[in-house]
Amino acid sequence: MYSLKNKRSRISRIPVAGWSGLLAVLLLGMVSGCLDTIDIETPASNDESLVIQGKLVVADPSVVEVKISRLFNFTAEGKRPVNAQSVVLFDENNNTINLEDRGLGNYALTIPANDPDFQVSLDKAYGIQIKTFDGRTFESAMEKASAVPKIDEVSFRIIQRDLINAAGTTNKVDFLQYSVSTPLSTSEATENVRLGWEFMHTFKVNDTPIDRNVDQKVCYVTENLNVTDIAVIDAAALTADRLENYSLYETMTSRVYGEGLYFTLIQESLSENAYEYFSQVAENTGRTGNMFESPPGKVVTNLRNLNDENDEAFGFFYVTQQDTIRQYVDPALVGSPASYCPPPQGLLRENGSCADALCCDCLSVPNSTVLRPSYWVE
Amino acid sequence: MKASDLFRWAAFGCSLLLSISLSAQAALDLRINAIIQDQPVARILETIESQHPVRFFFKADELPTRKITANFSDTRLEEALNEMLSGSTVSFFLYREGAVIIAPEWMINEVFSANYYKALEESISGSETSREEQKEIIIGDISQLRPSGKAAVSGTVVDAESGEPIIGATILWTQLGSGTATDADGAFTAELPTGKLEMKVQYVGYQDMIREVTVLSDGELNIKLNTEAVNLQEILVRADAPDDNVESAQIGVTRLDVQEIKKLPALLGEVDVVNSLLLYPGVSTVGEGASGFNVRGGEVDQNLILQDDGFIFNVSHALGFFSTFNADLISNVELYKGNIPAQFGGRLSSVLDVEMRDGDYEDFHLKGSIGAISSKISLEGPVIKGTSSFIGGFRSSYTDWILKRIDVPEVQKSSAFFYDANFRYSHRLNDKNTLTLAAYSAQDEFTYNEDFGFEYGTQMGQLILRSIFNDNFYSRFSLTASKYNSSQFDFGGLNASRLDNDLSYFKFKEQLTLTPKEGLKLDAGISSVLYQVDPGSRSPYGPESQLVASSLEEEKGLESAAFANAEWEISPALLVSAGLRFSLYQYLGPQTVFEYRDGIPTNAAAIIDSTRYDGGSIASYSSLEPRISMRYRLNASLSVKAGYSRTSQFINQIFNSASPTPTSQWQLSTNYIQPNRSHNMSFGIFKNFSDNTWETSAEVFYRSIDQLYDYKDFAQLTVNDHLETELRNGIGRAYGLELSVKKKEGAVNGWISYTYSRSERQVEGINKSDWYPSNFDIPHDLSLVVNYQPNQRNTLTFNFNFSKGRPATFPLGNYETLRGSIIPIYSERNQIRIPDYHRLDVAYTLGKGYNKTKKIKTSWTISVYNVYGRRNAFSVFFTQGPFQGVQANKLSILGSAFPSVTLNIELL
Repeated sequence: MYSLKNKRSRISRIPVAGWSGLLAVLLLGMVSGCLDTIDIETPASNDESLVIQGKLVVADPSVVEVKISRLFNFTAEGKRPVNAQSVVLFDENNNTINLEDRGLGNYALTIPANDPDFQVSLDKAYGIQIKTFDGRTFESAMEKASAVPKIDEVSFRIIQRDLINAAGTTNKVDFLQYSVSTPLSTSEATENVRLGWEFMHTFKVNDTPIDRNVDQKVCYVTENLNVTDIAVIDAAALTADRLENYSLYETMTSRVYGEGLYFTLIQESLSENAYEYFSQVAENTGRTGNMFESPPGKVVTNLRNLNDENDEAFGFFYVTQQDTIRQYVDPALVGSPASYCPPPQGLLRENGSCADALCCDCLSVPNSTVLRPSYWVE
Repeated sequence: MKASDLFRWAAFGCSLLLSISLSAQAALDLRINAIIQDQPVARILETIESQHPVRFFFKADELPTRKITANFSDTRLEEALNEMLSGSTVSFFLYREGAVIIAPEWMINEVFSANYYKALEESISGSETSREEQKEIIIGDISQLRPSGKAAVSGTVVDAESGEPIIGATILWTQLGSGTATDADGAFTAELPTGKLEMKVQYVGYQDMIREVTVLSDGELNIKLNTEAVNLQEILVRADAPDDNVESAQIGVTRLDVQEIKKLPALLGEVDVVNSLLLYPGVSTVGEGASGFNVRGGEVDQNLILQDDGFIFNVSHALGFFSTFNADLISNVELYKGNIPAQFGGRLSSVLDVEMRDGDYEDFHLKGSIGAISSKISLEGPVIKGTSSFIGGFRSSYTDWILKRIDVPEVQKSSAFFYDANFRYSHRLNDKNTLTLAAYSAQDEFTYNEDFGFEYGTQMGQLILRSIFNDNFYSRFSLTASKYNSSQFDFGGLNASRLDNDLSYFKFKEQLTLTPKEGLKLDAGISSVLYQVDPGSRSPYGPESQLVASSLEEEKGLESAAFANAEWEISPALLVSAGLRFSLYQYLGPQTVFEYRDGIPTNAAAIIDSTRYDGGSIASYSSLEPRISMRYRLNASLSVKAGYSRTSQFINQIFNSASPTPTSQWQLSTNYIQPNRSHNMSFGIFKNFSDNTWETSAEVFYRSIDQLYDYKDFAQLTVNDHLETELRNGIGRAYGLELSVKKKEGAVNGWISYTYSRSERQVEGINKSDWYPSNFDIPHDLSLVVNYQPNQRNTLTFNFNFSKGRPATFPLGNYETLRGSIIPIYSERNQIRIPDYHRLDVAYTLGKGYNKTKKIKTSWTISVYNVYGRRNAFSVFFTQGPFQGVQANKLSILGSAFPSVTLNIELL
């Protein structure tokens, strides 16, 4: 996949990419440069610090989710989830509500708008408190959400990008470019709102089972997109009061578009602290390790151990409001790609096993359902 | 009769003595016959000499003035002389076979040294066949022989054709095992024993002059060197006299030979001064393409880089792959990496002093070269023959045609360009004064894939007046105005921006040099620099940009200094160079200064108020900086040296990375940002072998930095009006060992250097406030240069480099976000290193032809950079792997061999 990382990144990252690019050009690095995987002996982290990530989405109903884990190093096989004794959401008036244990360190709760026990609204600040089984108590700073501007439109268009194939030949390849049009402020806010985006798509698949015991089905598969990149914008630093066809995401056309696809864009408001957190995460994840880069740092956190200041925690809790918009992508509008199944390489490997789980049984992959989403209109 | 006439006369007389041998007493017993009528004494002596086998040595104005009338008939010479000299204060004595000295009585009664007699004897016994040479190289007057047997000799070394002073030419007195070097005006002084000495004068690009010199008394020696008819391929690095590494007082000085630089293998054939420095001990870089260089564990911005008297704030073309110095126009390159002389200041680590050369005062020359990515041309010649000259050079890249042919769309849509231009006009106002006007301009421009771009450049003008008040008293006055500006662009999107910053300065410097006596040289002067810094402005760029413009107010600083330095040869063994520099820096208004809670600039939220200064001094810092360097010579080829210097720095480059970029802003010291200060100590032992053919040295150094700063995590360094909140104060140290072995001559020559160097810092709030390696901590650095030169025209050069990988901060752990992203957690800063660096280059140079009469001469350099295609790491980064979470990756930009061919053309 291809993404316009630079254009979504913070301004301060651009020079770093620039110098690298300059080097590549000046030294004809594209023809002489080499990328190798290497083994570097890094000391294994013995850090038992907790990672606590929480998010409260103010909506109807509101949803709060918290994920607790420990750091894992290169050689760890698992993601080291941590179960807590309790995970509590509280507001500025010290009202509290317990989150439900969803397993593997995941805690969540859906809070109806008119829940008599706990009210969630934009004008209140919220925090989370986690008590672990080893007796530690972590608490977040109070966070408050801004109202999110309503997205006017998400659109797409086909563009051509030059890609180099394995033989080193440059080819023109069709890309889908998704853009958003949205105001940057709301009637409630005096200044532009800092925004973050998440993308996902849901595509339709007619599977082609090879096992006679598996029925042929139509599935709707949802995938998060661009999870390795952080898409945030500090609209408060812009003069414009809206974005018009602002390019957010690009991807190659492929067989996921063969039977219809919905692109979903979630726009969420970010507080100044949350924006700083995501910006720093973006700096750490977008590193190229060259000599012109600033050193990575310890990303800010708003969580602390109430009893031990030296017991550092990672992660962040923030409160947001979201607006979601979807765009159907008709296969005919993107060149009528071949249907997802059967896969072009065939369904079976030489040893007779399934070469593509989704085609062999579309319910066998995560986030797949045979229930047509309510928004799905072809 | 003038003394010089006397000498000529005496020299002629020497021939008569070849066939006549008399005993000493026989000379005075010589019987003379002559009728003299009203003749001066000198004339009578001439007559006697013409008729008899005897020679007289005297100074005409010391003889009696009266005229003599006498009749000598078979009169003993002794009696005749007594009669002629009676009534005067002049007497005589017989020195040896037929030589009679006539001199004041007081002088005769002195104890004459052995040197006196030696000189006398040599002047008497000189042969007819050497007379012509002696006419040019006899110094002084035999009649002025000092009883001490020593003579002060001063003079100049100039280009025989152009008359241009040659800076750094070496004059070696072979029997003495010592020598001296010419200064910026081509002048030198030396105290020599009288008598016959062998003199060897050398300078790169010129024929060696080896002559016998007879020193009789104080006098001048003006030397004209002829250029080599062919490339001086045999000469490697020349550091002053052949034994200068043993002889000089300064420790930690490297002098580059420009001709040598041209032979070294270079990336894409582009000869480069700065990259050549990296082959010497104590000089390193954090990687290919890094801007600038690091000296003895110092930061890039801690090097004072001078082009004549002007500061150069960026020496990098195309990042750091090439430097902005045009090697064809350079006269002299010196790097002071240990003990910085008092006349230089304002940087902690080193001084790179690049002297540009005057144009030819007599003839026109056109030179050019054509390389893979750039070409250059230079023209020089007289404006008024013998009086004024000019030299101009222009170098420009033409990479675009290459980029357009690379089958990579992003590259095809990119462009890269640089140029540099120099012009220099020198005018000899009279015998004592030379005025030089110099202009310099350099520019780099780059755009990538119509996505982003950079440009930066330097403009500089200089006026230099060199004056010679007398043989022992010189002056150098200079005025410099310069501007360095840089911009970076982001062409697309809402955040499309243009970020500008620049730095201007105006500088004057006056330096006086006095040599009141042999063995003592005094330098003193003053300098002042007014800096005007635009720390940054960001503006929307292009129609789509919605960026809010922001800019910072211009900053001003005035750095003034007074300095004095004395180099004193206390004894032949002990030479001391001691100096003192007083620096005064003022941070000037107008400016708005924030006030912070508790006076500590922790973050923007701590700002509680601000104060507006309309002008005047906002903050001021002074610094008294002693400098001392000593040499103790244990024997003719072995010496030990030690040095200490205190240095301060009032302007720094803001970059939170291993290497700055040319667009990294320069920041003056303010009331919150303190000047950096350091103590620098070094000790070394220097030993030469085989008549200075082999040089070896070992030096240890230690630098203690009692004020520096590093940056907090995720520091915001651009267009930040409270930059001080992004800095963290600390201390630093650098220490190490440098070893060097060099073979200077022979068909196979070269050098090997090894440096062990550590650079560490301790900064509050970083790495738990423990000591940690700086970004440019390169513990091991090895360079090997081998030249094979079977004859003067052909040279094969190899160089090999090895250096330990630079420190980096790597991820030690990870966590997964709510959406599934893997977020790395990093180690403490600089705890791990990227892979080691090594590379082999080779170059073959086919020098200019032997035919002196040929007007157009060409030479070729064929080089291969990175012969074995080592994939050195430009960057090391981590990606999300399928199982283990994170995969380490190494990107090498120069991952293959780079051949190149350069054609040099010279029109004589």
